[in-house]
Amino acid sequence: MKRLWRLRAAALAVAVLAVAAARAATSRPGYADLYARVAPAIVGITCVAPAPTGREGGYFGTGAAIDADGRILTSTTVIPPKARDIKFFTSDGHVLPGKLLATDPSHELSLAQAEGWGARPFLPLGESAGLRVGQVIFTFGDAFRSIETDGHVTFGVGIISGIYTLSSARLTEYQATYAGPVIETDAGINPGMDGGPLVDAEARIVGLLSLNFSSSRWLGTAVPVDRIKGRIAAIREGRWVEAPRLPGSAELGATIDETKEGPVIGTIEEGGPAARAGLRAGDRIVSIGGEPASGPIDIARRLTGATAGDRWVLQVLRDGRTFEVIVELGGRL
Amino acid sequence: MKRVFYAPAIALALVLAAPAPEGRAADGGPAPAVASILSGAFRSAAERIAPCVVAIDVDRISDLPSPLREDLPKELEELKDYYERPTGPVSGVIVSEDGSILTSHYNVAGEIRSIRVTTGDGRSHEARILAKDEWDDLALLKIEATGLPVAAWADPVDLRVGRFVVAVGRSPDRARPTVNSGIVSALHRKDGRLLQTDAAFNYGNSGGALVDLDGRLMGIIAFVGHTWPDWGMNGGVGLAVRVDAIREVLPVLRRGESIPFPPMPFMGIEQDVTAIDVVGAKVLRVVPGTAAERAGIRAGDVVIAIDGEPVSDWDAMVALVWRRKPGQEIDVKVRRDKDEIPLRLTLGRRERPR
Amino acid sequence: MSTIPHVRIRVAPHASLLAVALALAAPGAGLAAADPVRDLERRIVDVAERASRAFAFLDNGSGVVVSADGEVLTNNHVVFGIRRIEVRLSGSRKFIGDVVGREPVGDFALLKLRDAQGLDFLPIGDSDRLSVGEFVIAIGNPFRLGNRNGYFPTPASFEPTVTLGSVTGLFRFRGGYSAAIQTDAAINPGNSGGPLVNLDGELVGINGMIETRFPNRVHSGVGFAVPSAQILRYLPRLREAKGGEVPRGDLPGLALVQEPSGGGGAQVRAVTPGSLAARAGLRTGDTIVGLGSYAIPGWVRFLGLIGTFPAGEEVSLRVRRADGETAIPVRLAVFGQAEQDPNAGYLGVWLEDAEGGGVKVLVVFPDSPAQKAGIEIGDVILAIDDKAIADTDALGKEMKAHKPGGKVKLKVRRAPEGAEAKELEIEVTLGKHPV
Repeated sequence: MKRLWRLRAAALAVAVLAVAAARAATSRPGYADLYARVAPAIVGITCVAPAPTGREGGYFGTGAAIDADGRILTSTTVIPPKARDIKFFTSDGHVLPGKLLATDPSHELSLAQAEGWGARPFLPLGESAGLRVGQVIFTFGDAFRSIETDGHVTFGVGIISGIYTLSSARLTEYQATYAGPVIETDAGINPGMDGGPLVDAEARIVGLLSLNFSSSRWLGTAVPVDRIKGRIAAIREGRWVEAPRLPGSAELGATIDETKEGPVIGTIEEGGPAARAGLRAGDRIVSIGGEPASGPIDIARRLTGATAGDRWVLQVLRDGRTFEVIVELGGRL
Repeated sequence: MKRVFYAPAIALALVLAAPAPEGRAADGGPAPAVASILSGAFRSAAERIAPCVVAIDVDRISDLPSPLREDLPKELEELKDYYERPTGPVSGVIVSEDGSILTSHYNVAGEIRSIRVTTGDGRSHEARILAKDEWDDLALLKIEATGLPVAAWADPVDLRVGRFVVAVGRSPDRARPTVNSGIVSALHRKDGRLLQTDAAFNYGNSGGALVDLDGRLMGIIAFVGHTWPDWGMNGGVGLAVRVDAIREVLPVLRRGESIPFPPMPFMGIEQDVTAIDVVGAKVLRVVPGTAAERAGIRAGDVVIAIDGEPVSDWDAMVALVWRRKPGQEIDVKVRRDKDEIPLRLTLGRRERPR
Repeated sequence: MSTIPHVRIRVAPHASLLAVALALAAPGAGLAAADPVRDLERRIVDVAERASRAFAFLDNGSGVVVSADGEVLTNNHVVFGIRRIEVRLSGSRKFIGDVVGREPVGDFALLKLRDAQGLDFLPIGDSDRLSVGEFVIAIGNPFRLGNRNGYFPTPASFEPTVTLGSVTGLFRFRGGYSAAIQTDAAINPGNSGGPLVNLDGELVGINGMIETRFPNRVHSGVGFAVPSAQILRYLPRLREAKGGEVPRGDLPGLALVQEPSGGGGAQVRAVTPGSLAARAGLRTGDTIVGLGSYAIPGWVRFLGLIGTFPAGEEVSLRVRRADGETAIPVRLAVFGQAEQDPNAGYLGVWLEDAEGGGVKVLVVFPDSPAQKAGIEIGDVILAIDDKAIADTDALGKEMKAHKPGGKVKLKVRRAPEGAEAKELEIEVTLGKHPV
């Protein structure tokens, strides 16, 4: 009798230990469930499109499905205007053909349609107004082409480190064209992740990832979703009108740095509008069309209001001399 | 028999019936719960310290020479962007109600025309430099104000590798703080004066606050890139001056006394790193014109004792010499071939490190 | 005796059993949910502390102690061209470590510390049980901040660097790292060879490679580690390798359809006649859907996982055909080596040209004719049946003339370390080429 009791007690102890051990071993902290939920809605993207200098180039990056029909949200640095041969690489190992619906370069927004999205999940658009600095946030994408080569959607975890307005617009490095309020994060953002989503813990899209790094704020940034929701809705509902020459399509072909004296040209794109006009790195832009230029944001704002083909009259300071330069703005048409 | 069997059965039932844990970050809770717990903790820490973090704008006449200029390999020339001081505000931390502000020495290095501090309420103040501690990379500024919120100090005993840290600075939009999170990566860098973290900072974080989840100051962010300014790349290796080092020098700085560079001893020998299985410190080369040359140390010698204390390897020798001062005479015993030779060396003074 | 004392005596052990059960289950049952963030923080601090005690400084890189008697894992590139190295543990204890075995393609190596016992070590966990999204810790010595940093003239503290991140990818194919763990824990030059640790305190990877957007190899969020599951498969052979290489496995003769297959497996496009793939029974049109315990979603995963097995290991492929699924066992060949004639006599060694003529034995396969005859790693075969052998090509040609079961007389030069070289004659009975 006593032996039987001891046996039962021992068996129970073992059972309890086993349950507790199984619980402890399988549950380690992290965000595995969020990754599993979001990754199937993410695609790697490749396409071919004309570059500002007129030559064609290959592009790659990330997109996210935003509805059951397979509309893909991405950025103009991934699917630029006039792109062709668009391919979407899904996380389940398929390649879907795609077509471009519309672009809005002033917000780096590009919307495309995947063919045959089927029953794959999509991500709802969240709200960026309620985001708080310090909040844990996530990135997903084709970092260093991980989706195209390995079928793997790269994950990134970080926090929102700042919400502010960009002070140094890098207009052609990585071809970022957006200047305005951004969400900054220390979650990994690497080449290939542009166009991908910034996602909150509830798997909602709160931003569009950009590769707009700068030397003083070298963390990644995203365009807040609130700034593009209206445009996305317009495109989906067929209300978006994209004329061949749209305000916001103008480009200078140079990066502008913020200095104490004013905006100064950083780097010049070979063969671009600034280069053709004879501008050089280090030139300070004193005024545009007679109005003083206060900084990179000022110039970016004026560009978004300009159209490719417009002629700007710049007052430029170089080596102590001030002189006039006329630039014919280029752009993606 | 059946009656007493119920107790363990109840125990097992309780264990099995317990619901999957919600909101517990320490084990496998769902992501939104883990994220919301951490978000709340980071935000509350940042909110506690943010009012004490100021933005600092420095109007400079001339700057320190870039420490990397001479060393910059040709291939990196085009990346000089990464090695030049960026524009934009840096940070500081209020340490007294009447406006003493700690920041990094690097932030106020060079010839300065003026310094402006923007406090959390958006007000702008003119600041002057009270004192500097260049070795620790600290500087104390003073603005004229009253009733300012003051940072709370962490207890050095609470500094542990693996604890969460939050770095708070001021963004280009000076009214709003920036927040980065990470953990303490190491505690005893640079002779115990610096702690290391993987929180990703920017140039603007320099001089700013590194706090624990209670919002208490664990350190002042001093070296933003990997120990020297490598603007544009923080690879998850950042350094901050430890709270105990700060509290040690603060009373001196408050008096307006700058702390001079400590005199650092220098011998003038280079290590032979291929010499394993050697008891002692094997010398690869003696730098011409240095204390070691004058004392008669030669390439190939193995230092086996300093002032009678046996030296087991190079690191042990560095530790012994570090405790001594320039100008001090030390006994150095070296092994040369089969002989043990006693030498007398007068320590030189180290050039200031970068 | 009344029943009450009986009940009391019997309840007491049950009550204590109840208490033990509740105590054990408490972490899982959420019964003591005080402050979850502090709990997580404490857990990270504990794991960091334990793992740091098993950390090894290896001059320019890192390593981790995995047994109490001083087995240390690191990357092969940390000990490239090195046979012994000075190793420092926490508390700055010094040891000499000998490289016992290495896998250069997969980039890992095993060291053994001399005169070591009772060391703190990290238990090796199962990387196959990792999930993308779970927290991990990396321990390393970036920029040599812990030992010889050169930034400050201060003495070294021999304190490693601990960084926290998440698993951001699994089974990543990045060249030699064919099934790597991807993480965003900060990994920089100097972290190589160091451990990737899960929050149960187990070693799940050896950190060794990054992809970065910065020009000077500084971390930008993408790092890779060799998974522990791969290393465990090599460990017994590494221990026997006497400082040499353990060759990676390969399945030559298989051409796969290199297109995304929608998760449907790796499709066989063609099989080279006479190759290992053909002899194993693989055919054009087969779809490989499993390898050992792994599901195979596509060709990249298949090739990546093959590389995680050593040469000579027998693996089982699950193959789908029109008429159903079948299991196909294959003994993997040596990666990167031209296929030998399967009908020739088999020795069971891996060779390279020796300096000054002859062929040097790099690997002796377990249970092979060479091992049975007493051939050792480091031996230089100078002649077969009195015919001088100049190089590996010459040996290959010579071996074609011999059949399984035939006997050959090898003239061998053996030079044990520190002793004079001597010449031996060894007779080997050749075996049959394993499939």
